[in-house]
Amino acid sequence: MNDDSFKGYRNPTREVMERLGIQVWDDVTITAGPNTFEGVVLPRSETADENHLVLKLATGYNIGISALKIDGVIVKGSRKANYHIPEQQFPMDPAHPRVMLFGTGGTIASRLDYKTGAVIPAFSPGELYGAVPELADICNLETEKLFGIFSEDMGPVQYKALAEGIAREIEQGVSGIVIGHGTDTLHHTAAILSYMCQDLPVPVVLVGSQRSSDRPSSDAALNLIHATRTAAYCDAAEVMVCMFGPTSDRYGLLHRGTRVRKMHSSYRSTFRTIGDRPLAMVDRESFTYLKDDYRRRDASRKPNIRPVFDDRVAIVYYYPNMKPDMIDSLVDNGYKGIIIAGTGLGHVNKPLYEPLRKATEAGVHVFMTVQTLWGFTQMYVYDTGRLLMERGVVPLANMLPEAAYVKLCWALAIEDTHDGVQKLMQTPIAGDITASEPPDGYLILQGGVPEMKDVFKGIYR
Amino acid sequence: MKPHQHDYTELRELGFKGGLETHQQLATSGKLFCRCPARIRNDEHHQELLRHMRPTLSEFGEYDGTALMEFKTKKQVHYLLYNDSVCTYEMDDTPPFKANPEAVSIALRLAMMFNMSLVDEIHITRKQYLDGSIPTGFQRTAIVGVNGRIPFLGRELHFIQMSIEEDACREVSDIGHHVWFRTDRLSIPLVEPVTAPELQTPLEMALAAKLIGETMRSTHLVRRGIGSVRQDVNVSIRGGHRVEIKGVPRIAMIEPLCRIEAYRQKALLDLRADLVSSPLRPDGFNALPVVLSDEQAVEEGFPANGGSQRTAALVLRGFAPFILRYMQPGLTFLDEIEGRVRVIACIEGNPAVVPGSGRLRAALGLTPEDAVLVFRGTPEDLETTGREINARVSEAFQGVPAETRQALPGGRTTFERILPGADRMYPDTDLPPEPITPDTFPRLKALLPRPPWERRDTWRLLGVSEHLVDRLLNLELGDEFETLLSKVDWKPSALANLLADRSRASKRAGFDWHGVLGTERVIGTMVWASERRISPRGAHMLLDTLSHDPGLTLEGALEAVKPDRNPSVC
Repeated sequence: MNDDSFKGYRNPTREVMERLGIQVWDDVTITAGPNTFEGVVLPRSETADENHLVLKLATGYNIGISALKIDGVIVKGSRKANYHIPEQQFPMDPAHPRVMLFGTGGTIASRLDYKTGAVIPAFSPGELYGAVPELADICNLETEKLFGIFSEDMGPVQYKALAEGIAREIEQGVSGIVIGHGTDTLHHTAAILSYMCQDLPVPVVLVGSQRSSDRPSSDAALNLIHATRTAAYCDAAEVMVCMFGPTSDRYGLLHRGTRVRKMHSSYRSTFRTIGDRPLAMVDRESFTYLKDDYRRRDASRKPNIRPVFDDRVAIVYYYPNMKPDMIDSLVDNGYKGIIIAGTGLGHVNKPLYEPLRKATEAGVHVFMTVQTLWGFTQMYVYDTGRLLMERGVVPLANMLPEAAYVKLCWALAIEDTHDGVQKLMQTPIAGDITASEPPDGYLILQGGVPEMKDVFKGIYR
Repeated sequence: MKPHQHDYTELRELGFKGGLETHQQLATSGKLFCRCPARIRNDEHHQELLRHMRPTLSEFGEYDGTALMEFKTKKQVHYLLYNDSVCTYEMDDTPPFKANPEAVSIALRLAMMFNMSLVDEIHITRKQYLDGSIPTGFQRTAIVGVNGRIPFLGRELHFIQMSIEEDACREVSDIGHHVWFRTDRLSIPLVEPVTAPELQTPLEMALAAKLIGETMRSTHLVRRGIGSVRQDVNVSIRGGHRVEIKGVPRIAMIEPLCRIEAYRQKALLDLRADLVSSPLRPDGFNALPVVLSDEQAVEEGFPANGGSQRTAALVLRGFAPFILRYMQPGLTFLDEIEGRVRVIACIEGNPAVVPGSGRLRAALGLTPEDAVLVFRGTPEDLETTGREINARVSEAFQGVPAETRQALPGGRTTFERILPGADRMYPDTDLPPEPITPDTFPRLKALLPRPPWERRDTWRLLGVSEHLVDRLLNLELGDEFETLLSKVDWKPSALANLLADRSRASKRAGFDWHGVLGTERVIGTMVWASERRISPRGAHMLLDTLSHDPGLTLEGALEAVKPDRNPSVC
C-alpha cells in the first residue's frame, strides 16, 4: 500500500485503517458499537483533524466517523472518483478577434481537490469552452498559464512575467489580453501593469471572481464574458479591471488600473473606482463609456514596456501613537522608499517628525497618501502638513496608497537619481493622479436614510 | 383518515413502494448559517437582486441532469430583500458563518429520537438547486445520523438518514423567464429525516408521516404552524420509476397523491406497452416547430404575431391516438407535455400548449393519426418547446420519467423538474468539518423525552383515550402528564382532559395558562388544588382566574371562584 491509499489520514486514524485493512476509495460497511455506516472512504483534507474517517454515502453526502470507535469493517469493493472537466475543441472563427488569456491562479472553471478541500482551476480553452460556451461567440480564445498561485502570493517576479507576456502578445498582434487573477491583490497588479505597460495599442483586462466557479451563482462566467468582450472589442487601450458593477448579474465596470480598489471582503461588486468615475460599463451587448479621456485602441501604436521593480519600499499605515521606531527600523533595514497612508489630509503625529527627517536626509523617499482613500492630500491646510513637508515628506495628491507603493517600486528601478524618482512619482501616469475629483466621484450611500428607499426602488443591488 | 376507505389490493399487486422525506423547521430564534432572525415576512420588501444560475461540475466530475435542464430555462431570478431581517449571507455576498450550535444540538436530539447512528463529524455539503430558490445555487446541508428505526404498525419504520439543512427562499411568482423569491425563509434551520422506500400503501405513507411529525413535535424543539413541515413524497410501482412529489404541506394530501401517482405510473406503463407494439419509434419524433401566419395564430386562439412573440405548430406523426390518453383524473398525456414545456421552455399561456384546430390540420395536410400542438413564444423558446415536446414523446416509449412533481388540488400533480441525482452533491469548501465532542451525545440523550410510542402505550393502559393521547403528545404541557400523575389524586383521563382539552379551550377563550403562568405555576396550581380535593373542573376555573389576574395568590383565586368542592368528581 502506498501513501495514496491513506491520502490525508494521520494517526490514530491511519493506524485504524491499516489494522482493519481499509484504504481510500474502498466501499465499506463500518460498525461502531451499535451504529452502522455504509459508504466510500474519501481522502482526508490535510487541514482537518486526525481523529475522523470520512465516508461518502450513497446519497452523495459526506460524514465523519470517529476512527477509534470503529470495531468492524466489511470491504465491498472500491469506487475511485474520476475527475474530468468536459473538454471540447474551442471553435475558432476566422472573423473573430484573437484574445489571449493569461492564467495566474484564479478560478474560472474548477474542480475539487480532496487533499486540501480547495478547488483546482480548469484553464485550457477546451475546458473553458466546456464551462462557458458563450466565449466562442466572442473571440478566438487562447490561453497560457503563467503561474498558479494565490493572489496574495503575487510579487515582482509575476509582475515582470505578466508585463513580458503582454509585450510578446502585442508583438504578435493580439486584439486584447485578459489576465485571470485572484481578487485580493488584483488592484496591486492592475496598478503595477499600468506603470510597466504604457502606450498600449490594445486593452489589457484583469478579471477575477468573488464566488468561485464551482458555484452555480458564481460571477466567474459573466466576468469572463465581460472581460473577453472588453479585450476583443473595447475602445479603451488601457490596463483595466473588469468586475461586477452591482452585485446583481447585470453589467461589469471597467476600472482604470491605478484608481481601482477592492472595497469589500466578499461582495461581488467589491471593485470600485476611487475618487473618479469608472471608464465604462460592459454587458453582453454593448459598452457604455463613462469617461472620454481614455487612450483609444490603435493596433499600430508601439507600447512602452518596462518590466522593472525595486522592492525596497513599504507602506506605513499610520495609527495614533505610532512610535518613531516604526520609521527608523525601515531606514535601518535599507528601505529606499516609504509610502505613508496618513490620516485626514495627510498627517502623522509629532513623534514621527524627527525619524521622517532623518529618513529623507538619508535619501529615503517618503511620500504621503491618505488612508481615507477618497480625496486629496492637502498638506498646506494645517501646520502638521507644512511641518511634514519641511522634513521632506512629499504629498502625492489623490494617488491611492497601493498605486503609490508599486509606482515607487517601479520608479526606483527606472530612475537613477533621487530627483528623477521624485519627478516621476509626481507625474500623473495612467490616471493615478487626477486634476480634480468630480462631484460623482465619491458615492458611498448610507442605509436607513429615508431617501434611500426611493433609490433602492429604482435599482437592482 | 379511515383505513377501510380504499382497497389497496390492486396497488399492492402493482408493486407500490413509497418513502418520505419530511422537512421540519426547527424552533431556533436564529438562522442556520448567519445570525439573522428566523422570521417570515409578508410586508413589502426593501431591495431587489437579479441573478442567474449556471450548472457546475459535481465532485465526481459530472454535470447533474437537473442542473442542465434548469440552465436551459435561462431564468432571471429576482430576490426580494429586507434591510432589517436579512443580511449579505442571504444575498450570497458573504460566506457562511459557522452552523448555529442550537440548531445542530436540536438536529442531533431528533436523530436520537429516530434511533439513528449519529455521525461524529458534520460535513457541510452543497446540494445544487438551479431553480433559483437559493441564491448560492445550492443548499447547505449535512448528515447528522443514518440508519434509524422506530416502531410502526407492528413492525419497524426504517430511516436512511437525517440531514440538517437551511430552508430555501419562498417563491412569490414565476412568470415566463422571470421568477421572484422572498429571502426571509432562506437559511431557517430544517431537519430532513428520510425513510427507506418500504411503505406499502398510500395509507401507510400518511400514517408514517403522522408518526414522524408526532415524534419530532414531542420534543417541542420544532416549529409549528403553516409551512413549518413539508413532505417530499416518493412513489414508484414495479417497472415505473421513483417520482418525488415535492413540498406537500398537509398529511391529508398524502394518501390521494400517492394513490393517483401510482395509477399515473400505471397509465404511463400501459402507454409505453401500446407505443412499443405500434409502428412508431422513439427516434421518429424530431419535427421542427412551424411558425403560423397571423390569421392562423388568431384562429388557434392566440394573438397575432407581435414583438418577439410568434405562434408555432409542431406535428407529431402518428401520435394522435395517444395524446389525449388519461394519465390522472382529468389530465391527459398532453398535460404531461404541457407541464414540462411550461417549466423548461418558460412559455406562457394557460394552457401553454393546445391541440391544433381542424382547419390547421387540414392546412398542414395531416392524417387523422397525426397530432399537432400549438404554442407561443420567442423564436428561441419555440425551438426549446419543440425539442422538449419531442423529447417527452420519445420518453413515453421508456415508461415513467424520473421527475420531481408538484402537488395540484385533488391529489393530482404536474411536472416540476427532472429528478436530481447524487451528482448534484458537492462538499462545501467554505466551512471545515465540525467534530462533535464525545460528551455531547450522552448530554443530549439525557434531555430527550420518552418516545411517543412508549408514552402512547403507557397512557392507553391508564385509560386515556386515543384522542387525548394525540393532544397530549403535541402539547408542551403534555410532558407534565406523567409527573403530575404521581402528584394529583385525579383519574388519569381527567388529568389528561385538563391538560389537553380544557387548557386548549381556555387558551382559545383568552386564558393562556401555560403562556401566562409558565409550567411550574400550572403544575403547582394543579397539585395544590388536588391536595385540597378540588376537582379538575375546579382547577380549570382556578387556572383561568390566575391567568386572567396572575397577581392573585392561590387562596385569592380560590376565593374568587368558590369552586366545587365535591370530592365525588375526582
